[in-house]
Amino acid sequence: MEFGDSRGSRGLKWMTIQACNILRANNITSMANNSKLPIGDNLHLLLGAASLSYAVPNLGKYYGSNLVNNITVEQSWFNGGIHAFNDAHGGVTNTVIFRAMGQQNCFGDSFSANQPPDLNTAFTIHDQPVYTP
Amino acid sequence: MIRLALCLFVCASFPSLADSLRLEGEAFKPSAKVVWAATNTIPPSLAVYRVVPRQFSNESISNFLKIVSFKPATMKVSPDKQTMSWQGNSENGTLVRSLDIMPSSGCINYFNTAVALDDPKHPVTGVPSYEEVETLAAHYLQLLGGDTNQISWKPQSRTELNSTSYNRKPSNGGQIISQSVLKRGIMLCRQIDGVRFNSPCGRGGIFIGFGSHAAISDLQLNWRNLQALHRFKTLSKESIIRQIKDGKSVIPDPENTDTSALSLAKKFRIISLVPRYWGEVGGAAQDDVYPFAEINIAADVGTNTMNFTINCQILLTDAVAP
Repeated sequence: MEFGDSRGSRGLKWMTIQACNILRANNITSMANNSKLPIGDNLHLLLGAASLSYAVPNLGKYYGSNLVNNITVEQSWFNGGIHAFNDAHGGVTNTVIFRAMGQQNCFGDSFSANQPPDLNTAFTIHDQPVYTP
Repeated sequence: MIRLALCLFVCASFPSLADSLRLEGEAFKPSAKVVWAATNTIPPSLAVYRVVPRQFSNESISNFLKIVSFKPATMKVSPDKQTMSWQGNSENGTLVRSLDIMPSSGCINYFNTAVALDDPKHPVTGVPSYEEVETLAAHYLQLLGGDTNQISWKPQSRTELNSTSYNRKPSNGGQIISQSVLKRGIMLCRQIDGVRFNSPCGRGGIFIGFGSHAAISDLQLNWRNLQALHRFKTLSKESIIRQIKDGKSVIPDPENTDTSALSLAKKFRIISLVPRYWGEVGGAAQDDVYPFAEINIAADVGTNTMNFTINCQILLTDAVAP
Protein backbone atom coordinates (compact mmCIF):
# COMPACT_ATOMS: atom_id res chain seq x y z
CA MET A 1 0.00 0.00 0.00
CA GLU A 2 1.24 3.46 -0.86
CA PHE A 3 -0.42 6.75 0.02
CA GLY A 4 -0.39 9.68 -2.38
CA ASP A 5 -0.63 9.69 -6.14
CA SER A 6 0.72 11.54 -9.13
CA ARG A 7 -2.27 13.78 -9.91
CA GLY A 8 -0.35 16.82 -8.75
CA SER A 9 -2.43 19.30 -6.84
CA ARG A 10 -5.48 17.02 -7.05
CA GLY A 11 -3.77 14.07 -5.41
CA LEU A 12 -3.57 13.13 -1.75
CA LYS A 13 -0.93 15.32 -0.11
CA TRP A 14 -1.08 14.54 3.59
CA MET A 15 -2.25 11.47 5.47
CA THR A 16 -2.82 11.41 9.24
CA ILE A 17 -3.68 8.20 11.05
CA GLN A 18 -4.53 8.43 14.74
CA ALA A 19 -3.87 4.93 16.02
CA CYS A 20 -1.49 3.31 18.45
CA ASN A 21 2.02 2.62 17.11
CA ILE A 22 0.98 3.30 13.51
CA LEU A 23 4.43 4.83 12.84
CA ARG A 24 6.36 2.89 15.49
CA ALA A 25 10.10 3.32 14.96
CA ASN A 26 10.98 -0.39 14.71
CA ASN A 27 8.18 -1.02 12.23
CA ILE A 28 9.14 1.96 10.08
CA THR A 29 12.75 0.76 10.03
CA SER A 30 11.64 -2.72 9.06
CA MET A 31 9.38 -1.35 6.31
CA ALA A 32 12.22 0.82 5.07
CA ASN A 33 14.66 -2.09 5.03
CA ASN A 34 12.22 -4.09 2.93
CA SER A 35 11.22 -1.24 0.60
CA LYS A 36 7.70 -1.22 2.02
CA LEU A 37 7.44 2.35 3.31
CA PRO A 38 3.89 3.50 2.58
CA ILE A 39 5.14 6.79 1.12
CA GLY A 40 5.70 6.99 -2.60
CA ASP A 41 7.18 9.94 -4.44
CA ASN A 42 4.01 12.01 -4.24
CA LEU A 43 2.73 12.04 -0.68
CA HIS A 44 3.97 15.16 1.08
CA LEU A 45 3.75 14.00 4.69
CA LEU A 46 2.58 10.94 6.61
CA LEU A 47 1.59 11.73 10.21
CA GLY A 48 0.60 9.59 13.16
CA ALA A 49 1.78 8.20 16.49
CA ALA A 50 5.07 6.36 17.05
CA SER A 51 3.88 5.03 20.40
CA LEU A 52 0.71 4.12 22.21
CA SER A 53 -1.86 6.86 21.80
CA TYR A 54 -5.15 7.63 23.48
CA ALA A 55 -8.59 8.87 22.53
CA VAL A 56 -8.26 12.34 24.05
CA PRO A 57 -11.35 14.48 23.55
CA ASN A 58 -9.99 17.66 21.97
CA LEU A 59 -7.40 16.30 19.54
CA GLY A 60 -9.53 16.59 16.42
CA LYS A 61 -10.75 20.05 17.38
CA TYR A 62 -7.25 21.41 17.97
CA TYR A 63 -5.74 19.73 14.90
CA GLY A 64 -8.54 20.98 12.67
CA SER A 65 -8.55 24.53 14.00
CA ASN A 66 -4.77 24.78 13.55
CA LEU A 67 -5.05 23.51 9.97
CA VAL A 68 -7.77 25.95 8.94
CA ASN A 69 -5.84 28.79 10.57
CA ASN A 70 -3.15 28.02 8.02
CA ILE A 71 -0.56 26.73 10.44
CA THR A 72 1.77 24.13 8.90
CA VAL A 73 0.36 20.63 8.72
CA GLU A 74 3.18 19.23 10.84
CA GLN A 75 2.89 21.94 13.50
CA SER A 76 -0.89 21.55 13.55
CA TRP A 77 -0.55 17.84 14.30
CA PHE A 78 2.00 18.39 17.08
CA ASN A 79 0.14 21.41 18.50
CA GLY A 80 -3.09 19.43 18.46
CA GLY A 81 -1.45 16.55 20.30
CA ILE A 82 0.26 18.67 22.93
CA HIS A 83 -2.78 20.78 23.70
CA ALA A 84 -5.19 17.83 23.74
CA PHE A 85 -2.97 15.80 26.07
CA ASN A 86 -2.37 18.89 28.24
CA ASP A 87 -6.14 19.04 28.77
CA ALA A 88 -6.59 15.34 29.45
CA HIS A 89 -7.30 14.30 32.99
CA GLY A 90 -6.47 10.81 34.12
CA GLY A 91 -5.90 7.59 32.29
CA VAL A 92 -2.82 8.49 30.23
CA THR A 93 -0.03 6.37 31.64
CA ASN A 94 2.47 6.13 28.77
CA THR A 95 4.68 8.51 26.86
CA VAL A 96 2.88 9.50 23.67
CA ILE A 97 5.05 10.36 20.67
CA PHE A 98 3.66 11.94 17.53
CA ARG A 99 5.56 11.60 14.26
CA ALA A 100 5.63 13.30 10.85
CA MET A 101 7.68 11.96 7.93
CA GLY A 102 8.37 12.98 4.35
CA GLN A 103 10.75 14.94 2.15
CA GLN A 104 12.27 17.88 4.01
CA ASN A 105 10.86 20.53 1.69
CA CYS A 106 7.28 19.53 2.64
CA PHE A 107 7.59 20.24 6.35
CA GLY A 108 6.63 23.87 5.70
CA ASP A 109 3.38 22.80 3.99
CA SER A 110 0.19 24.51 5.04
CA PHE A 111 -3.25 24.28 3.43
CA SER A 112 -2.70 27.48 1.47
CA ALA A 113 0.97 27.09 0.55
CA ASN A 114 2.65 23.81 -0.18
CA GLN A 115 4.97 22.20 -2.68
CA PRO A 116 5.41 18.73 -4.15
CA PRO A 117 8.06 16.50 -2.61
CA ASP A 118 11.56 17.33 -3.84
CA LEU A 119 13.44 14.04 -3.89
CA ASN A 120 16.73 15.96 -3.83
CA THR A 121 16.02 17.12 -0.29
CA ALA A 122 16.58 14.85 2.69
CA PHE A 123 13.96 12.33 3.70
CA THR A 124 13.11 13.47 7.21
CA ILE A 125 11.37 12.12 10.29
CA HIS A 126 10.21 14.43 13.08
CA ASP A 127 9.29 12.95 16.44
CA GLN A 128 7.65 14.93 19.20
CA PRO A 129 6.59 13.50 22.54
CA VAL A 130 3.27 15.20 23.18
CA TYR A 131 2.94 13.76 26.66
CA THR A 132 5.30 12.12 29.13
CA PRO A 133 3.94 10.79 32.45
CA MET B 1 -38.47 22.97 64.38
CA ILE B 2 -35.10 24.35 65.38
CA ARG B 3 -33.41 21.39 63.69
CA LEU B 4 -35.42 21.99 60.51
CA ALA B 5 -34.54 25.69 60.55
CA LEU B 6 -30.84 24.86 60.96
CA CYS B 7 -30.98 22.39 58.10
CA LEU B 8 -32.62 24.94 55.82
CA PHE B 9 -30.03 27.53 56.80
CA VAL B 10 -27.15 25.19 55.93
CA CYS B 11 -28.73 24.25 52.61
CA ALA B 12 -29.44 27.86 51.79
CA SER B 13 -25.89 28.90 52.64
CA PHE B 14 -24.12 26.80 50.01
CA PRO B 15 -26.65 25.78 47.37
CA SER B 16 -24.69 27.15 44.43
CA LEU B 17 -21.46 25.54 45.59
CA ALA B 18 -23.00 22.09 45.99
CA ASP B 19 -24.53 22.47 42.54
CA SER B 20 -21.29 23.59 40.98
CA LEU B 21 -19.20 20.62 42.17
CA ARG B 22 -19.38 19.10 38.74
CA LEU B 23 -17.71 15.84 37.77
CA GLU B 24 -17.06 15.12 34.10
CA GLY B 25 -17.24 11.60 32.71
CA GLU B 26 -19.33 8.47 32.54
CA ALA B 27 -21.25 7.51 35.69
CA PHE B 28 -19.79 4.50 37.49
CA LYS B 29 -21.98 2.25 39.60
CA PRO B 30 -20.05 -0.74 40.87
CA SER B 31 -21.66 -4.13 40.55
CA ALA B 32 -19.48 -5.68 43.27
CA LYS B 33 -18.06 -4.94 46.68
CA VAL B 34 -15.90 -1.83 47.11
CA VAL B 35 -13.11 -2.01 49.71
CA TRP B 36 -10.58 0.53 50.91
CA ALA B 37 -6.97 -0.58 50.26
CA ALA B 38 -5.33 2.84 49.98
CA THR B 39 -2.52 3.68 52.35
CA ASN B 40 -2.47 7.44 51.83
CA THR B 41 -4.53 9.74 54.02
CA ILE B 42 -7.20 12.25 53.01
CA PRO B 43 -6.43 15.84 54.06
CA PRO B 44 -8.86 16.88 56.82
CA SER B 45 -10.02 19.98 54.93
CA LEU B 46 -9.66 21.63 51.53
CA ALA B 47 -10.48 25.09 50.23
CA VAL B 48 -12.74 26.23 47.43
CA TYR B 49 -11.54 29.22 45.41
CA ARG B 50 -13.49 31.82 43.46
CA VAL B 51 -12.21 32.85 40.04
CA VAL B 52 -11.84 36.61 39.83
CA PRO B 53 -10.93 38.35 36.56
CA ARG B 54 -7.19 38.67 36.11
CA GLN B 55 -5.63 41.80 34.80
CA PHE B 56 -2.17 41.17 33.41
CA SER B 57 -0.20 44.30 34.24
CA ASN B 58 0.61 46.69 31.42
CA GLU B 59 4.27 46.17 32.20
CA SER B 60 3.95 42.38 31.85
CA ILE B 61 2.17 42.63 28.53
CA SER B 62 4.52 45.29 27.25
CA ASN B 63 7.61 43.27 28.19
CA PHE B 64 6.22 40.09 26.69
CA LEU B 65 5.29 41.84 23.44
CA LYS B 66 8.88 43.04 23.16
CA ILE B 67 10.21 39.53 23.76
CA VAL B 68 8.03 38.00 21.06
CA SER B 69 8.43 41.01 18.72
CA PHE B 70 4.82 42.07 18.37
CA LYS B 71 3.76 45.71 18.40
CA PRO B 72 0.80 46.94 20.48
CA ALA B 73 -0.52 48.78 17.43
CA THR B 74 -1.07 45.55 15.46
CA MET B 75 -3.38 44.11 18.14
CA LYS B 76 -6.81 42.83 17.15
CA VAL B 77 -9.63 42.44 19.66
CA SER B 78 -12.22 39.67 19.38
CA PRO B 79 -15.89 40.67 18.90
CA ASP B 80 -16.70 39.69 22.50
CA LYS B 81 -13.76 41.85 23.63
CA GLN B 82 -12.33 38.94 25.65
CA THR B 83 -9.26 38.18 23.52
CA MET B 84 -6.37 40.33 22.30
CA SER B 85 -4.60 38.79 19.30
CA TRP B 86 -1.48 39.30 17.24
CA GLN B 87 -0.46 37.27 14.21
CA GLY B 88 2.52 37.06 11.86
CA ASN B 89 2.55 35.30 8.50
CA SER B 90 5.39 34.10 6.33
CA GLU B 91 5.80 35.40 2.78
CA ASN B 92 3.65 32.57 1.41
CA GLY B 93 0.81 33.30 3.84
CA THR B 94 1.42 30.51 6.34
CA LEU B 95 0.71 31.52 9.95
CA VAL B 96 4.07 31.26 11.73
CA ARG B 97 3.52 33.39 14.84
CA SER B 98 0.41 33.91 16.91
CA LEU B 99 -0.38 35.38 20.32
CA ASP B 100 -3.75 35.35 22.08
CA ILE B 101 -4.25 36.91 25.50
CA MET B 102 -7.48 36.37 27.46
CA PRO B 103 -7.08 38.49 30.60
CA SER B 104 -10.38 37.51 32.23
CA SER B 105 -9.37 33.85 32.43
CA GLY B 106 -5.63 34.37 32.88
CA CYS B 107 -4.96 32.58 29.62
CA ILE B 108 -2.17 33.18 27.08
CA ASN B 109 -1.47 31.13 23.96
CA TYR B 110 1.57 31.79 21.80
CA PHE B 111 3.62 29.95 19.22
CA ASN B 112 6.40 30.76 16.78
CA THR B 113 7.34 28.00 14.34
CA ALA B 114 10.11 30.12 12.81
CA VAL B 115 12.44 29.50 15.77
CA ALA B 116 12.41 25.73 15.29
CA LEU B 117 12.52 25.34 11.51
CA ASP B 118 14.24 22.29 10.11
CA ASP B 119 16.21 24.17 7.46
CA PRO B 120 19.67 22.82 6.54
CA LYS B 121 20.72 26.30 5.40
CA HIS B 122 19.90 27.77 8.82
CA PRO B 123 20.31 24.97 11.35
CA VAL B 124 18.72 25.38 14.76
CA THR B 125 21.32 25.98 17.46
CA GLY B 126 21.28 26.85 21.13
CA VAL B 127 18.19 24.89 22.14
CA PRO B 128 18.25 24.99 25.97
CA SER B 129 18.63 21.84 28.06
CA TYR B 130 15.70 20.74 30.24
CA GLU B 131 17.43 22.28 33.29
CA GLU B 132 17.71 25.59 31.43
CA VAL B 133 14.10 25.24 30.27
CA GLU B 134 12.97 24.96 33.91
CA THR B 135 14.83 28.16 34.82
CA LEU B 136 13.40 29.98 31.81
CA ALA B 137 9.89 28.70 32.55
CA ALA B 138 10.07 30.13 36.08
CA HIS B 139 11.37 33.43 34.70
CA TYR B 140 8.57 33.82 32.14
CA LEU B 141 5.90 32.70 34.61
CA GLN B 142 7.00 35.45 37.01
CA LEU B 143 7.14 37.97 34.19
CA LEU B 144 3.48 37.18 33.41
CA GLY B 145 2.38 37.49 37.03
CA GLY B 146 2.31 33.81 37.99
CA ASP B 147 3.52 32.50 41.33
CA THR B 148 6.37 29.99 41.03
CA ASN B 149 5.55 28.71 44.54
CA GLN B 150 2.38 27.28 43.00
CA ILE B 151 4.28 25.20 40.46
CA SER B 152 4.36 21.46 40.92
CA TRP B 153 7.81 20.68 39.53
CA LYS B 154 7.42 16.93 39.68
CA PRO B 155 6.10 15.03 37.92
CA GLN B 156 6.41 17.18 34.81
CA SER B 157 5.63 16.31 31.23
CA ARG B 158 8.49 17.08 28.82
CA THR B 159 8.65 17.42 25.09
CA GLU B 160 11.27 17.92 22.42
CA LEU B 161 11.03 18.00 18.65
CA ASN B 162 13.60 15.60 17.22
CA SER B 163 14.60 15.56 13.58
CA THR B 164 16.34 12.71 11.75
CA SER B 165 17.34 13.26 8.12
CA TYR B 166 18.40 10.67 5.55
CA ASN B 167 20.25 11.35 2.29
CA ARG B 168 17.70 9.22 0.46
CA LYS B 169 14.51 7.52 1.48
CA PRO B 170 15.52 4.71 3.91
CA SER B 171 13.79 2.18 1.66
CA ASN B 172 16.21 3.19 -1.09
CA GLY B 173 19.24 2.63 1.11
CA GLY B 174 19.30 6.09 2.65
CA GLN B 175 21.70 6.69 5.52
CA ILE B 176 21.24 9.09 8.41
CA ILE B 177 22.96 12.37 7.62
CA SER B 178 21.85 14.42 10.61
CA GLN B 179 20.00 14.25 13.89
CA SER B 180 19.03 17.31 15.86
CA VAL B 181 16.72 18.71 18.51
CA LEU B 182 14.70 21.62 17.12
CA LYS B 183 12.95 22.68 20.32
CA ARG B 184 12.49 21.57 23.90
CA GLY B 185 9.76 22.34 26.41
CA ILE B 186 8.03 21.38 29.64
CA MET B 187 4.49 21.23 30.95
CA LEU B 188 4.20 22.36 34.57
CA CYS B 189 1.03 21.83 36.55
CA ARG B 190 -0.23 24.46 38.99
CA GLN B 191 -0.91 23.40 42.55
CA ILE B 192 -2.69 25.14 45.41
CA ASP B 193 -2.03 24.09 49.01
CA GLY B 194 -0.06 21.19 47.53
CA VAL B 195 -3.03 19.98 45.45
CA ARG B 196 -2.46 19.79 41.69
CA PHE B 197 -4.95 20.68 38.99
CA ASN B 198 -6.53 17.87 37.01
CA SER B 199 -4.32 17.74 33.92
CA PRO B 200 -0.65 18.20 32.98
CA CYS B 201 -1.14 21.98 32.54
CA GLY B 202 -4.04 22.69 30.17
CA ARG B 203 -6.46 23.25 33.07
CA GLY B 204 -4.04 25.08 35.33
CA GLY B 205 -0.34 25.57 34.68
CA ILE B 206 2.12 26.46 31.98
CA PHE B 207 3.54 24.78 28.89
CA ILE B 208 6.53 26.56 27.48
CA GLY B 209 8.99 25.52 24.78
CA PHE B 210 12.14 27.04 23.33
CA GLY B 211 13.83 26.79 19.94
CA SER B 212 16.92 28.34 18.44
CA HIS B 213 18.92 30.49 20.89
CA ALA B 214 16.28 29.93 23.60
CA ALA B 215 13.62 31.92 21.74
CA ILE B 216 10.10 30.97 22.85
CA SER B 217 8.55 28.50 20.41
CA ASP B 218 5.41 27.71 22.43
CA LEU B 219 3.60 29.14 25.42
CA GLN B 220 0.31 28.00 26.88
CA LEU B 221 -0.50 29.68 30.18
CA ASN B 222 -3.62 28.84 32.17
CA TRP B 223 -3.41 30.80 35.38
CA ARG B 224 -6.76 31.93 36.70
CA ASN B 225 -6.80 34.55 39.41
CA LEU B 226 -8.08 32.80 42.54
CA GLN B 227 -9.47 34.10 45.79
CA ALA B 228 -10.06 31.75 48.74
CA LEU B 229 -13.80 31.33 49.32
CA HIS B 230 -14.37 28.69 52.03
CA ARG B 231 -12.51 25.81 53.55
CA PHE B 232 -14.55 22.63 53.98
CA LYS B 233 -14.03 19.40 55.83
CA THR B 234 -13.46 16.36 53.61
CA LEU B 235 -15.45 13.18 53.43
CA SER B 236 -14.40 10.16 55.46
CA LYS B 237 -13.32 7.03 53.60
CA GLU B 238 -16.62 5.38 54.56
CA SER B 239 -18.54 8.28 52.99
CA ILE B 240 -16.44 8.07 49.85
CA ILE B 241 -17.13 4.35 49.53
CA ARG B 242 -20.83 5.11 49.97
CA GLN B 243 -20.69 7.75 47.23
CA ILE B 244 -19.08 5.23 44.89
CA LYS B 245 -21.62 2.52 45.75
CA ASP B 246 -24.45 5.01 45.15
CA GLY B 247 -23.18 5.67 41.63
CA LYS B 248 -22.05 9.22 42.36
CA SER B 249 -18.55 8.82 40.92
CA VAL B 250 -17.55 9.05 37.27
CA ILE B 251 -14.98 7.47 34.96
CA PRO B 252 -13.25 10.55 33.49
CA ASP B 253 -11.89 8.83 30.38
CA PRO B 254 -14.42 6.15 29.37
CA GLU B 255 -12.91 6.13 25.86
CA ASN B 256 -9.76 4.55 27.28
CA THR B 257 -11.41 2.29 29.85
CA ASP B 258 -12.89 -1.12 29.12
CA THR B 259 -16.11 -0.40 30.99
CA SER B 260 -17.79 -3.59 29.77
CA ALA B 261 -15.18 -5.68 31.60
CA LEU B 262 -15.96 -3.88 34.85
CA SER B 263 -19.38 -5.51 35.06
CA LEU B 264 -17.57 -8.85 35.49
CA ALA B 265 -15.53 -7.67 38.47
CA LYS B 266 -15.78 -9.62 41.73
CA LYS B 267 -14.36 -6.83 43.85
CA PHE B 268 -13.17 -3.23 43.53
CA ARG B 269 -10.18 -2.17 45.62
CA ILE B 270 -9.44 1.53 46.18
CA ILE B 271 -5.66 1.64 45.69
CA SER B 272 -5.07 5.37 46.08
CA LEU B 273 -6.94 8.61 46.50
CA VAL B 274 -5.39 11.89 45.41
CA PRO B 275 -7.13 15.27 45.79
CA ARG B 276 -7.12 17.41 42.63
CA TYR B 277 -8.46 20.86 41.80
CA TRP B 278 -10.92 21.07 38.93
CA GLY B 279 -9.92 23.47 36.15
CA GLU B 280 -11.81 24.07 32.94
CA VAL B 281 -9.89 23.78 29.68
CA GLY B 282 -7.99 26.83 28.48
CA GLY B 283 -9.90 30.08 28.49
CA ALA B 284 -13.29 28.51 29.29
CA ALA B 285 -15.36 30.37 31.86
CA GLN B 286 -15.25 29.01 35.40
CA ASP B 287 -16.86 30.45 38.56
CA ASP B 288 -15.26 28.34 41.28
CA VAL B 289 -12.22 26.10 41.53
CA TYR B 290 -12.98 23.17 43.81
CA PRO B 291 -11.25 19.97 44.81
CA PHE B 292 -12.36 16.46 44.05
CA ALA B 293 -10.92 12.99 44.64
CA GLU B 294 -9.05 11.16 41.88
CA ILE B 295 -9.27 7.52 42.86
CA ASN B 296 -7.27 4.66 41.40
CA ILE B 297 -9.18 1.41 41.55
CA ALA B 298 -8.10 -2.17 40.95
CA ALA B 299 -10.92 -4.36 39.73
CA ASP B 300 -10.51 -8.07 40.33
CA VAL B 301 -11.83 -9.58 37.09
CA GLY B 302 -11.41 -13.35 37.19
CA THR B 303 -7.70 -14.00 37.54
CA ASN B 304 -6.80 -10.56 36.15
CA THR B 305 -6.61 -7.16 37.75
CA MET B 306 -7.79 -4.15 35.81
CA ASN B 307 -6.74 -0.69 36.98
CA PHE B 308 -8.81 2.35 36.19
CA THR B 309 -9.51 5.83 37.52
CA ILE B 310 -12.68 7.38 38.86
CA ASN B 311 -13.41 10.88 40.13
CA CYS B 312 -15.57 11.48 43.17
CA GLN B 313 -16.62 14.35 45.42
CA ILE B 314 -14.31 14.95 48.34
CA LEU B 315 -15.89 17.87 50.20
CA LEU B 316 -18.43 17.76 52.95
CA THR B 317 -20.06 20.94 51.69
CA ASP B 318 -22.21 21.54 54.75
CA ALA B 319 -19.20 21.48 57.09
CA VAL B 320 -17.07 24.58 56.92
CA ALA B 321 -13.64 23.98 58.40
CA PRO B 322 -12.07 26.57 60.70
